Amino acid sequence: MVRMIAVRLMSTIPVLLLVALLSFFMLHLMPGSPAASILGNRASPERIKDLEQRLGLDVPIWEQFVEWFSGILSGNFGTSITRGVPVSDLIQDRLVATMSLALAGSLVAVGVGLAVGTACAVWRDSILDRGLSVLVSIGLALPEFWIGLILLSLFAVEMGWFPVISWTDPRRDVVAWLQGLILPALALGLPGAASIARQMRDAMIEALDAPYVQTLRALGTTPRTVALRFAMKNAIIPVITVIGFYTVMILGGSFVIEKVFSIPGIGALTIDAINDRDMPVVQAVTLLIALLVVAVYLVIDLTSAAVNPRWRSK
Amino acid sequence: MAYIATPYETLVAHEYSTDDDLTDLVPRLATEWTQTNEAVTFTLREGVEFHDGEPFNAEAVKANIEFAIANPDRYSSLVEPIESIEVLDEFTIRFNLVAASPTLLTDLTGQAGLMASPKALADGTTAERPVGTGPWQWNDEASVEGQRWRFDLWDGYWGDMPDGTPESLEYVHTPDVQARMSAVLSGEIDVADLNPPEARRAEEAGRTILNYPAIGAGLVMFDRGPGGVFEDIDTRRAVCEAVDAEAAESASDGYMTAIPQRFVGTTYANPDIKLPSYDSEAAREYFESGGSVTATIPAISGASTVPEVLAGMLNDAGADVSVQTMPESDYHPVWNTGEFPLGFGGESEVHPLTWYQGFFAADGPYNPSKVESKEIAEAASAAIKAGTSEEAVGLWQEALKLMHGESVICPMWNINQILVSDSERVTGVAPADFLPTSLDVRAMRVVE
Repeated sequence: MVRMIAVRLMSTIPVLLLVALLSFFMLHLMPGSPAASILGNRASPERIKDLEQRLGLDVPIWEQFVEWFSGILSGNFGTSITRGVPVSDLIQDRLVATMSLALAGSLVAVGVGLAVGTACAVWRDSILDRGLSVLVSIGLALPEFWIGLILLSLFAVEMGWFPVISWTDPRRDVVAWLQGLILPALALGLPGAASIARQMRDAMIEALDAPYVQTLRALGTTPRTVALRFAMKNAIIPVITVIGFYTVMILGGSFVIEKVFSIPGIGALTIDAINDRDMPVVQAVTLLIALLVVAVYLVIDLTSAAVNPRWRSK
Repeated sequence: MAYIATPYETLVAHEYSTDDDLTDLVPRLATEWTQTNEAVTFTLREGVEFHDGEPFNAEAVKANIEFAIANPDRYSSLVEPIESIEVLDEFTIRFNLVAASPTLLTDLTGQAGLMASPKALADGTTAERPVGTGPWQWNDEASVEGQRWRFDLWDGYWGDMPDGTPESLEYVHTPDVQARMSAVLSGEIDVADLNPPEARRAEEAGRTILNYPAIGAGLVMFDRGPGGVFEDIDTRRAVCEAVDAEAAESASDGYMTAIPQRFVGTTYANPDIKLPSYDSEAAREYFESGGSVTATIPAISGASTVPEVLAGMLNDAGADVSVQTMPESDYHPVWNTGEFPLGFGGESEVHPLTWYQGFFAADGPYNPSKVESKEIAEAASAAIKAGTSEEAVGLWQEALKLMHGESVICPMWNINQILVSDSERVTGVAPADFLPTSLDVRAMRVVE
């Protein structure tokens, strides 16, 4: 197991290096100079050139990359060229919001998805199964932002149960933080929950139809124990991969939901930085997201190994 | 601008005067000023302090202008006319000018002229915590980076603020227009700018709507150099005649209003200016005479309705125009570079000089072909030399007539801004004079 973790960790190094290279060079291929973006349309070419020199954008691109990457290795993500503050400070401020949202969304996706999928399989072909399956199909068809707008309109504007501007820093008010996360987490997590529910239902049905389950039933094991203790343990193995996939999707979806619910997260920071051509911020965020995605897949692999001995032996 | 106009003030400000129906410069941190073509001298207000206790004086003004020059941003080009700064005494300062600059005082009423505490400037903290002399001061505790910025009424303010002035102002970053509308409807936000469809919904729910022209826009013909698509003035006239400005206004669903000339409704409006009116037959004839157009108009993804309509009108008159959509971040750096011969857009120029410098001067950012009419350059030069004298207005009207006659930008529209407010909670919601894209927070009153 330790060897497997070490191998997986080592394999992330080339991935991150490739992401760093691609993000740096692709961003520099984008139209428009950061200096021109800072100075606006009315700036003279001389002023733009002068600022490019100050920002170190006049040296060859390889030199810029080496300087940036060596800074990253020493923990220095550079300084935002439009805000004049360290990029790490900006990311730190915004990471709490994005991670809160992504974790809450994942919780909804996994919690609701597993519960609904299991219920549908246990009460297969019942009214409950059919009703939930219809809801799952609807959930699969609806985009996160649309769910967000509907939830806002219904529960924040019409009912007044939740705030429209939903973000509160947990360090200031934990209750308001939790209250503000409910609608965004539902909007973010429900499409993933629908997909996980469908996968879980199929996997559970297969597990419940397996010969060893028939044997357990014949031995008088209660249906509850059969489902939750034996069948679920086997059914969840293929679903873990789907959960991992949706956790990454939720990370991306959080960018959209941040906008709908006015949450000051990494997504809002990235969009502003792209529009302002604030390269150090965009590059750092790209690298951070790559790191998070790699971390999520590592956790999924470790979880799969923990629940499935055959996978571990591979 | 409303956000930074809350803690900060400028030396002079613009204020609408009902006496002459024009916008006048009024004292703010400067009590008097004199301007010549060589220099501007300000007498500063005494007894003013910054929120951090630093005194406001000539040295503070010098530090601010020097900071703007040394730290380039999109507003620093506005202080380029200042060649040197002389502190004459504690409350008198002179800006020596590179050349006559009739727009300098107007430019100093905006972001280029904001006065921050010299101590905060030296500490480098103004980007995160603004420290000015304004009626409201920054509340760090109640503000959240990237989301909300709170300012509280400051008891050390030098002036008197009328009854009903808000005790605190909070700006909330709400990028999604649907979310802004929801926040207005739920009562979480008192004032917001909305798009026409959302504003109509807010109006149905009883909110007050203020719809006003904010930014000038038009079809801009960039490729005017030798061999360019729009080198021949007849081709440019054809474009002007081919587009039905009022039909485009209708297609915009309330986003824009057709106007007969740039600076309409201002002191610089010239009754002799007549933009070509819609006439598709005339357009065809002009295309035959000057040569037809094959071009692509850049547009922001999701906001291409008007460019599509304009392209359709041009094609009906015999042109071959298409629209290329792109993300907003890709659009802004390229739309005026000449990469596309034709564009739809504009700016909120408040003075003919700025319009001239942008679109007609050889080095203008919206003149990538570097073509300049000698006649226009001479007319603008004469108007610039007239400085801020009464004679200058007439000279600029003449220059504007020539600029409109070049058919570089036409037809023209004003892009509308819509402010939505809850009049049971706040009144006096209006744009700032000379800064139409900004809210005049000083005019707002809280309903008791």
